Amino acid sequence: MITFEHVSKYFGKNSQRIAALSDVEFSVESGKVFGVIGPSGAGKSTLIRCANLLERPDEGRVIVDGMNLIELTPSDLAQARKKIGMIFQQFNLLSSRTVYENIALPLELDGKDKSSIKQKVLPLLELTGLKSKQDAYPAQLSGGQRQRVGIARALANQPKVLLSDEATSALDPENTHAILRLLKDINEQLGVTILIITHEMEVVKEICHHLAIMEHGKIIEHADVVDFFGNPKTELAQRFIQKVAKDHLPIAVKQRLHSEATPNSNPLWHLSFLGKTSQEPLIAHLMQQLSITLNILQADIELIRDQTMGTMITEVVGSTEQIQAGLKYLQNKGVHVEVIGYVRNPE
Amino acid sequence: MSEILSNSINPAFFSILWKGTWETLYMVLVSGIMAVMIGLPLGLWLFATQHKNLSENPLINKLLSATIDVTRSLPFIILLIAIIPFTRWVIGTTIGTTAAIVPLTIAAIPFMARVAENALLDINPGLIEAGMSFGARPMQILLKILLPESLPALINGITLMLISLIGYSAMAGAVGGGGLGTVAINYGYQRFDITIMLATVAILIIIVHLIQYLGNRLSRTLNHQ
Repeated sequence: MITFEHVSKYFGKNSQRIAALSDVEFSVESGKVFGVIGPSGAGKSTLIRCANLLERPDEGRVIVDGMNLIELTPSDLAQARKKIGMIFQQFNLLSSRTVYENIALPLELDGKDKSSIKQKVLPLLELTGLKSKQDAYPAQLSGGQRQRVGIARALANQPKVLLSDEATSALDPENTHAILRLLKDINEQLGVTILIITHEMEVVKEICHHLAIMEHGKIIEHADVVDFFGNPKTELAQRFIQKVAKDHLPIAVKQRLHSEATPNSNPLWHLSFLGKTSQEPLIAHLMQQLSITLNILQADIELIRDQTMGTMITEVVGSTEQIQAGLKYLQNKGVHVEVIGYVRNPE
Repeated sequence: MSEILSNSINPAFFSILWKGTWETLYMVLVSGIMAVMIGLPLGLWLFATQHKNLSENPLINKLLSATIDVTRSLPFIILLIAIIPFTRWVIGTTIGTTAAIVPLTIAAIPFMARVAENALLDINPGLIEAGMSFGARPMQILLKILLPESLPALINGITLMLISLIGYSAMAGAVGGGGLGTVAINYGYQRFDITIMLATVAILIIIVHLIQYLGNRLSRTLNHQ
């Protein structure tokens, strides 16, 4: 549904030219939710703005629904954009229009008459749960409600594609969750293909089928979301998970964490259990059969898309042989083990 | 003092002030409306031709901007005299209220254009992107998104312009333009009639406050932010 072919975009002139996007290639299958994640300044925003040519790439092709947007005339492009909805971090609603009028705007501009506008806006108010707010002005709404208006407006022209530019970044966790559920419904019920850019891992975990990681204007990794978190194969994915795990460690442990093993240190493991391995008594086995002491720092069960994944961060105390045996045992059981570092014990 | 006051208050006194007030309102409103009709589109054009805007055009933008600045930098009293041939060509005379509308309009157009430009610049540029994202054409973005969004600021700007026009209209009155300016000069200054002088001042204060009040109210009603 969306394909980027060798897309590059530069900012600045000649010698000070900076590549915001360099040779970006990816494609989003019809009906899927595709997430692009990366630190700020990685070029995510430029990337999504290239998907409807708010930003025109300097090189490459952007193909949406079979059309190379770059070759379109301005009026054909405007036509094509009607089938590509977009939602924004700052919502970008008209303060002078009510909720109803905001949602109706794309239809008004299309020259639709009042009754057919009403026919389209009412179901959208229903879908987004804004029925009771239809005559309110955006200033009277909460952030979550404003984003709902943004979503309803983006869907007014019944697009095939929805672009989400950090749509939940200005919202609190509760509203983020609600908006993500709404996007998931839209994807599943209306079959709309969604391209999301975000810096929040939670967003990707919750609703994306696929993810791409961006850094310095390049896509450095593509993966299926469940694979990525449950069974991270590439070095980058591993680094990513280590970093997330480290960020969540208690400060007391963080201060004692080192990357090299020493005689008086114990390894710190990050375990991910996917699917049915999460139901076996693996930990009991490690402790009873292999006599390894586990000092569990954190354990969690998460939902990645629709699969449950257990994660655990634990300090492992035992001899080198015991630890090796334990590692082997877990790997045989299909548990992904990531060594985050080594915790040094106070002398 | 009270004798002087009561001496000058006679039926003629009221009819002079009444006529002057109407002439002032007529000059200010007609030139104000014309300035909005011409200055507003100019302001939109100025905004749209800016760098990275709806229809970027550096040449037109610079030209427009320079013309506006030149016109705005002329003191009104000089503009008034400098364009006498033009006024005569348009109206057929350079004396009277209708003739004064020409220089008033010309002075107010660039003011209005800048007011409109600034009002549009204050709008979140994200709204332009949102408009583009759902396929709005540049003209639609300008008229259906930016203009309604900037209306409260435009109303404030128009209020400001009308109040400046009252001041300008008094200057026009000094050179035969009619209105309260003429009344103040002819009766208050040349005949040294303090009563009529104070009365014109009072009327001007009332008009200015009324315009300001109505402008504020309208702007507040339209502002949903």
